[in-house]
This record gives sequence, C-alpha cells and structure tokens, in this order.
Amino acid sequence: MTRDYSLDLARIAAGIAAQCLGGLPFQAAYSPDGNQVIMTFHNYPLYGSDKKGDACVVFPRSTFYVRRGNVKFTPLQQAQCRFYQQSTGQALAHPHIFSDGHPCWHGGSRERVADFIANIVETLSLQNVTEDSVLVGLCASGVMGVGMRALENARAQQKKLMEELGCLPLITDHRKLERYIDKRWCSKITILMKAA
Amino acid sequence: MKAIIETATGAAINRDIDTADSPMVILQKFYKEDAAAASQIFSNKEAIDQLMDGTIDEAKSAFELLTVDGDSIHADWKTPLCSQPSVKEEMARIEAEGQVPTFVVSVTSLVAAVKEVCS
Repeated sequence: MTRDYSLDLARIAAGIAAQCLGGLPFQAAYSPDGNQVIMTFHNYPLYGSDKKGDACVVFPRSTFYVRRGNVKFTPLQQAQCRFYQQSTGQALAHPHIFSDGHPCWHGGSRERVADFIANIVETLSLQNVTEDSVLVGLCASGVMGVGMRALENARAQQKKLMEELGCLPLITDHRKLERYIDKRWCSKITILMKAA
Repeated sequence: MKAIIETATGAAINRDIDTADSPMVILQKFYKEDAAAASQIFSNKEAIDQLMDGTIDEAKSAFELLTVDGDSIHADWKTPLCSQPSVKEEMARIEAEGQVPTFVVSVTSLVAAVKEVCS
C-alpha cells in the first residue's frame, strides 16, 4: 500500500504549529470530500468567553506532497485557506479574517512552508495583529471592533492565549519563529523520508 | 526524568526515562511497558522484533533530541544518554528553560531496508 505523504506532511506541519502554541492537542485529516486538509487544534481558548474549543485551518490537500522522493510545497493563496473555530463554517475570531473564514494576508499568499506554518501560529495566537495591521492593513471583520479598538481587544486575547496555552516565547519574534519552524520542519521531513 | 517521545508525524507520548539507559534500552522498556503506545514509533512488526533483539537499521532510524533553538541532536543508539555529552548538555539546557526534553523517534527494520534495495 502506498503511504499517504500529503497527510503525513500536514500532520508534521500541524505538530510544529501545535508545539509553538504550547503543545495544544491536534489532528490533521482530510475533509469529507477528500479535497482539503483540516488541521484541528483542540482546547483553544475562545475569544469573548471562558470556554475552550476547536480551532481549524483548512487548505487544499495538494499543498504538501512528495514527488520523486522530494518533499514539495505548493504556495498557498489566501483565498485557498480558511480559519474556523468551534465548527467548520464559523470564522475564527480575528480582525484579519473575513466572516467566511478566509484570511487577509500581507502579500496575498504564503510562498514557503515555514512562512505558512508561522502564519498559522501567528494567526491562532493573534501575534499578527499590530498597530500597522489594523491602521494600514485595516480589519477584515469587526469581530473585535475596528482600528485601535480591534488592536486593544486583540492584545487582551493575545495575552490570554500566551498565558493559557504556554506558547513558546519566540512566537513574538517573526524571524526567530520562522527560523525555528524551518529547522523543525527540515529535521522532521528528514526523519520521515529516511524511514520511507 | 520526564521526557516526551514524539513520532515523525508529531504524535507525542509522555514517558519517564532513565538517562543511564541507551536509546535502544529506553525503547525496549517502553515497548515492554506500553506496547500499544510504543508501536507508533515503529515502521512495522519486524522493526519491533529487531529492536527487542537489539538490532535496528541505524541509517534509517532516528532518536533525536530537539534543542531549544529548534535543531536536533542525533543520539547514538547504544550509548547511555548521560554518556553522550552533546545530548546531556542540551537536556540540562532544556530543563533550565523549564521545558521537557523531546525525542523524535522513528525505528525502521533492517529487513524492510533489504527488501527495498532488492525491489
């Protein structure tokens, strides 16, 4: 039986993101129609309540694959990705995520694996909500308010997430986070492909 | 000491390990105590049998300590962890950071490797 590397690679990516977020329980599986990968992070503290629930990232199954023994990544457009919470279809509470769940990314796409995984970490931890992002990039949803109000609410949620999840301190520094993720990704795929 | 044994695809299992043991012995004890959980780190049944007999495909298998910076340190399969200076130093650094050492483990059998070469 041929091994399904697309899902293995998605699991590795989810595992690295989960570890950066303090070791959240996670899983990665295909959508019912088999065309998407759904990464689910459990016990995610929800905005505006004391409850915890699932946070999901949905993207095409062709994003990660192996060809001729080499691991490949297909750059991802923002329209191909969705961030949900609690259930599929309910957008993650985040100023830069539209009500249908698709994110508003700087540059419009994620070109590298480390960039994509770092984006998942920074979105779920709200680290990518900054003064520039809300004033220059503007808000895609008013779930946390708009402008400085959104920033204020996002900072409160950031603090709550950092404390409750025990996120790695390096997630506040984008360059350090990407470098860390890149090393972890290389190490994991080397082990996976050696065993193949 | 407390440690996390992690598969290549990220499944994590909490374990108490003895650093006076080698990776080989740590995994043999793990399988004896919790075969269901330990099975996740093996590529197949042959890999389990061979590890319990003290042999594995070292070129294709991995027992690596994740460092604080995201790198990984390869551990020798047959040397006690406490006798491997780079592993010992990094474990002390990880503990000083208040984290639990994580070892990424994957065990592949020699038989599978030979079959692959033949095919």
